[in-house]
Amino acid sequence: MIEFEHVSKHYGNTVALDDVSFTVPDGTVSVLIGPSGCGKSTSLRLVNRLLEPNDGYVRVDGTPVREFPPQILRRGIGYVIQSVGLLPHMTVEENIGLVPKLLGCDKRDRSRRAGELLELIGLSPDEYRNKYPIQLSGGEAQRVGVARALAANPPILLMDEPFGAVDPLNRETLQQEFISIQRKLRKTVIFVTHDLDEAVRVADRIVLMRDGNVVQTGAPEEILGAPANDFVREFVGSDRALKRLARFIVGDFMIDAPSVDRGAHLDWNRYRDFEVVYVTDDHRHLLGAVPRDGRAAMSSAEDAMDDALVGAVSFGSTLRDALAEILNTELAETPVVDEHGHLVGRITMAEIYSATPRRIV
Amino acid sequence: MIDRERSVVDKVTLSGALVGGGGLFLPVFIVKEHRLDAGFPVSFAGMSLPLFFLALAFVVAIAIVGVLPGLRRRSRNLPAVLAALCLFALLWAGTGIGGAAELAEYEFERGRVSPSSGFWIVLLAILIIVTHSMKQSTSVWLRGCVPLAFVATLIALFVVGVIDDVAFVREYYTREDRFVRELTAHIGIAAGAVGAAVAVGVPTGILAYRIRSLERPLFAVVNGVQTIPSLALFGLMIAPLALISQRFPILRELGVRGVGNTPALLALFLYALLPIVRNTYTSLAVMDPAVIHAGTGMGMTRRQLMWQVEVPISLPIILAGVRVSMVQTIGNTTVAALIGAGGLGNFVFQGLGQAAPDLIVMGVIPIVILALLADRVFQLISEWAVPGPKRGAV
Ligand SMILES: Nc1ncnc2c1ncn2[C@@H]1O[C@H](COP(=O)(O)OP(=O)(O)OP(=O)(O)O)[C@@H](O)[C@H]1O
Ligand SMILES: [Mg+2]
Repeated sequence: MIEFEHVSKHYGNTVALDDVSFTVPDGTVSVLIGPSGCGKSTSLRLVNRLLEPNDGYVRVDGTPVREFPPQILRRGIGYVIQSVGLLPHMTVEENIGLVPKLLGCDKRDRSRRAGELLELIGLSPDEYRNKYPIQLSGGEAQRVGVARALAANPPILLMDEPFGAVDPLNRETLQQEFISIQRKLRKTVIFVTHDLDEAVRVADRIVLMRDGNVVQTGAPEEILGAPANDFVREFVGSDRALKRLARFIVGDFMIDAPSVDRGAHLDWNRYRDFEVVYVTDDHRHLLGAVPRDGRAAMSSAEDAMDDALVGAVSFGSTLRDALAEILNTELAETPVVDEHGHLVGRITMAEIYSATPRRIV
Repeated sequence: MIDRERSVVDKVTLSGALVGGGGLFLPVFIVKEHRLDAGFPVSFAGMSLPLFFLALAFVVAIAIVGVLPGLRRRSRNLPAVLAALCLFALLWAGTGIGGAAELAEYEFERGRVSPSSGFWIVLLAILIIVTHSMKQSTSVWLRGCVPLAFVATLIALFVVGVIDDVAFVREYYTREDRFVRELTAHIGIAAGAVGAAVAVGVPTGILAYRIRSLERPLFAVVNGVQTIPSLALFGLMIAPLALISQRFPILRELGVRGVGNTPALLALFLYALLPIVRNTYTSLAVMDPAVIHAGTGMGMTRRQLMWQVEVPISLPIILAGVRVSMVQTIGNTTVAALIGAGGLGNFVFQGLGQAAPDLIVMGVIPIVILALLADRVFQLISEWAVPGPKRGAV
């Protein structure tokens, strides 16, 4: 657990943090977000004692950090810095092995660990192990920076815009990777970003800052659903409802999908309440869909179905993806499949509305 | 842009070839009965027609490389360099062997062969071509090895005895013992001055970076020293050192006097400081702060940060400064002979005094070779000592 307790920090006359308090519970991700210069990086550096507060306490597991020797403290905290800062005279492997080396790990273990981590961040160990930082793209270097922070398996991670230089597509992949790694490892993480979508995706809690103050803290749903003031409302933007959908997993909202076997005759009387019936094979693989007003009285469901109508979403994706999929097809709903392509349910606009807070008129 | 530049005629190589070709028609050497004889000029053609055409062929080969961009690109100008090396060997061997033959013809038993205008002009052409080609080369090994190949060729010809009759080699043989002594002294003085400059300059550079208020005065002093002409600086050393050595007899016994090696070492040391102080300072000033931030954030101690991050990153820049300083000091040590220090400069100034150009050249050639060797050796050391992707792999 990391606690900020009435922390203030100034650089000369610049007040970087002004009486900031928030808590990061064990095993959760807190995202610090806010406009440039609001004190996000400063907050991180107070945790590993690269800076000392002028006032207040920063505690790790209840102990004020000032009671730890700084080097010992830092070796136990993974730190991804905003400007990456790979050491130019060391290979990727040596960079990743930095903290383990400081902790006295032998070379074989460091090398093995570097291989595992490269694999984890999606860079082929054989190809990248012996490269030097100037031979990496900005995004690759940033990933190596993340691997370096994870190398000694620290319980606490401080990540300062860890995916800032990665293109949007890879960025999303890395966020997914980060989420699944975090689900396994359950680290206590402070994650800094400018990007609200990223915050919504990875955060358990968001700490929204402005000019050295905390403006609002809460789960992403709360921040998006109930902005505390005009600044927050403006910050989260008019598409906040859309962003909020990204918090919800399809698997938690989907409803049963009507389906018929490909060989069976489709009797619409049995599906009076449905606009669409899905067609599957013997193993419940989704093959296509038959809309109510489509080619009706054919011999088998397979003949009647229109496979162009189905794009599907996986049950692990978000309601935002589901909404996008619904808007993509001609149907007012989308089927949900598991990782093998088996039909497991469907999402309609009703489920999407149900996740959106609305006043009854 | 670069491609278009490469696709046209290489003007430098071509003009090098033209200069060399012109030089072939001038007298290569003068055969003299004795040191002060006016002598008889001999040209390549006059010496041996086949030799002349062979030399001309090398020049033409260089010119062809100069006008064929495709060949130049594919071979990285290597054929031009090789042809220049052959021309170099031919020039020296021709002068040595041809000269000996002419001497026999004139029956100058104790005579000598003095290189003349043609010789120097062809040498200049070779220098133009080779330095130009080396500038374009990206291979460290090539840039290191080519100058060494020229030096090795010359030394081989000397050792085998082919150029024994050339005037300055003759000068060498008449003072072999002294040559070795002065060479050792030259190396010793230069190395001592640079060694001291490294020992003082690196900490000074660090200090200038760490303590901002020291930066200006320190650089004012170090830069200021460089603006004093070397001769004046040597002169300036004499009076105070003479005074000190009179006051403190112990120092005098240790060899501290107004003239001799001590003032020379001191002046050369002051000269050598600037590149080292400046590069040390620069290496720290250009270091990416993120790197220090990262090292500290990973939990390095102050000492680990210094030895594992700051030193390895700044080393290449500091080494480059030492290299410049070394080459410069080898040259400046020549002047030190004027205030009674040892070194090859003694031959140069003796030659000047006696109006004996052969003696001057005899002193200058080993100085040039020393400077060249120091430069290449330092280049190779820094390439080898500095981790990172090797050039060309990037
Ligand atoms: N070393 C420093 N000296 C003086 N002022 C500083 C220093 N570091 C940061 N500041 C100031 O403190 C404030 C907070 O800086 P901080 O780096 O924490 O911002 P940030 O939220 O991380 O911004 P960004 O999103 O641009 O990275 C800014 O106004 C900045 O100008
Ligand atoms: Mg920042």
